[in-house]
Amino acid sequence: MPLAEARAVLSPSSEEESGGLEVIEANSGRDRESLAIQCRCAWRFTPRVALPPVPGVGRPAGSDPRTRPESLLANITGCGHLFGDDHGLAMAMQEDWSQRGFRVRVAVAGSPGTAWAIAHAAHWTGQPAAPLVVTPGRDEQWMRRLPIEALALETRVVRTLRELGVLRVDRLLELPASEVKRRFGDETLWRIDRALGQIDEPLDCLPMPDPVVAWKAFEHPVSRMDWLEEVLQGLVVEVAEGLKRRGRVAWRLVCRVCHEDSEVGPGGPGRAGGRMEWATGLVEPGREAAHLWGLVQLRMQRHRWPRQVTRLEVQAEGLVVPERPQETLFDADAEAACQRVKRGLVRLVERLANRLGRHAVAWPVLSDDVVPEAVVQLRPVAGPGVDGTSGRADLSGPEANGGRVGPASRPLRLIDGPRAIEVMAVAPQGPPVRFGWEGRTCHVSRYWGPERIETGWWTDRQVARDYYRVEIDTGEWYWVFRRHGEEDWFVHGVFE
Amino acid sequence: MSRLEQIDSLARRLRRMERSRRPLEAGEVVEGTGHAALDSLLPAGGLARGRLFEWINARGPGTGAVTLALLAAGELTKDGENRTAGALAVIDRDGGFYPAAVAEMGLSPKGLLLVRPESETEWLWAVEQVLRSPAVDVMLTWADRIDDRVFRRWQLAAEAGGGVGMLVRSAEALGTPSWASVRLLVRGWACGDGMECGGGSGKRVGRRWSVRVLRDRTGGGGDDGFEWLLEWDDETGGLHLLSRLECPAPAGVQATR
Repeated sequence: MPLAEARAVLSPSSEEESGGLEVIEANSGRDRESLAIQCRCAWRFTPRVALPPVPGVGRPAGSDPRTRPESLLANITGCGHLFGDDHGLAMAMQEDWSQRGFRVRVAVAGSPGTAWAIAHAAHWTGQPAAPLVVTPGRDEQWMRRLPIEALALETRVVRTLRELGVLRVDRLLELPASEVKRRFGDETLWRIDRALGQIDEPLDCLPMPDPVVAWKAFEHPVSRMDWLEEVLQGLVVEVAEGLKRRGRVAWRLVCRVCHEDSEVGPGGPGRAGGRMEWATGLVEPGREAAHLWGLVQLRMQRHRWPRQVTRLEVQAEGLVVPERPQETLFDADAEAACQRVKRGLVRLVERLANRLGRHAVAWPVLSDDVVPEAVVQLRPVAGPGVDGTSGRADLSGPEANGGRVGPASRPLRLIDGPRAIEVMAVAPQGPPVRFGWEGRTCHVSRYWGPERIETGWWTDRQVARDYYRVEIDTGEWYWVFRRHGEEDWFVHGVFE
Repeated sequence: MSRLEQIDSLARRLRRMERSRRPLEAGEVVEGTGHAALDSLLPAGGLARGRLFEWINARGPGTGAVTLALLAAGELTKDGENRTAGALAVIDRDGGFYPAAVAEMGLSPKGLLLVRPESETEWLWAVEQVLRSPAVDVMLTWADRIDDRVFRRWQLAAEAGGGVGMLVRSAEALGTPSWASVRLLVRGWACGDGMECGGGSGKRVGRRWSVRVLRDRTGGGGDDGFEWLLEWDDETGGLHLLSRLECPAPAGVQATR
């Protein structure tokens, strides 16, 4: 209910100007802090409890109901039997908070998205707020019955869908994905997949009160790098042993350096007040000391070390229980070889991402966008460990584009910002016959086209181009285009 | 270490240093490219694992050496009956590599890893790391100028990793020393080169190259004076051998980039 409406309902009496209405400004930061306190109560049910994702981190900015500080996400895998079963655990949770004066709704499902939707379903459908446990494998069946708000879509999308008469999830899922994407964008498809549990959504669990940390304070400031490296290596080994004792693996190691160096002061990222901090991230959580130390060394190379170091500290964050690989009955050798390749790739990617930066290593994913510049999307390979966001590296790689034109229809090098060319002669209804490129005159001997690439006027990026593949007399191939209705020609790609 | 052990160690190092100059050994694996024309052109009958291959553009980058290198690598990126394919890593300093074209070439786009280093130092390091990784089957990068020692490190890294390194270079590299096992000169073959082909907006897209093996350390040979004329068929996606011509010297080489 809007505030103005509430004020109107509670009309002011003569004694009290506000009509007995107490107005408190919303403060999401304080709400998150309160929610973090509630996590402590959840640790008696499971050690893996996370707050809602932070708005705008890892995803485009937009109103996302999932980021509202009103839910706790808990991974209860392997904990249900301590309370009889999963339903017993859910009942115990609800009872625990009710006794402390909170009104809570508990839902257990196969993915955070479905659990969130079902926990909120009572709000939209008016159903009783009893704990609900979804039978494994029936998440989507449950989701289909819920209103579209359960998909945690953007407000404008929900409003438009309601205007179109799409009120329930099953009606929305009947629409072709390409139509939904064209009308509402990639973000909407991503949110639908998230709600249906089709996107792996690892929880960035809050650290337990007893952190896995190792530190060393020096009596006198130390500047010798070889000493510092030796101490740091010892701390990494100590943390790795701590993880092993605790039966956990970590998504990242945070190294903190306290120093008295005046040259390395405030201004740089993570450097302020004589303290420097950086995180070494992993693509898959781990605890192998040698591997962790190798990554820390690579990450160190990206920073200028301060002199006069007074204290070193290493802390493991994002602790999770290690996953046990599923055993196979048949063809164990092939499975082992596959795992070896995958593990090797993860190790390589971790090294590259920590040394070159997360942005420098990516898996390309092809979309069905027609605009050449938008066809390829780069998916960062890093997981929660690298930047603290909740996007797991998808090692499945890019998906094939269904709308292929044929072999060699696209160049292997796309010029960032099409380059204008000087054209000496143009074939009637065709491409240039002679044009200047990199200081020489190119004579076109063969060409293929035009291939018209055009987007709708209602899209953000309006494009109307006629593309030609041209072969010049020296055997080189280029991708040229002219904007529809204009005379200027551009080279947009090289068939390397 | 005794003198005998020291001599033995030095002899082992010497053998290892000379390995790239020696023919293929019995245990070395040669992978077919999936294109009979390329297999017959490549000295060992395919791509020997743990080796570097240089693809030199006789003219500008539009000549198509990268296309040929990726066509040759296609078979390595597919899962086999008894093996799981590793990644195809493309290390692109310029940032213009366009993966949309890769899927069209018959390559499995699964596991295409794109690395974009920002500086030369990072690029050199990244190439060595990728070559050294056993999880990468094919590494492709553009390398016009390479220091001799760096080149040697890459070659040793490729041996350690067991993958195939594809180096695409401009014609400037022709006069420089190389640690690659095979050096191939690629020249685009246009319609005006005396070959019969559809004119104007011809419907056939067949792209033609002439390829010459300039250096071969896997078989111990060098330039045999032959140019292989290949055509990439747009209808079948296959690579066909059109002819094998005898030419006294590589023609049409122009150092542009």
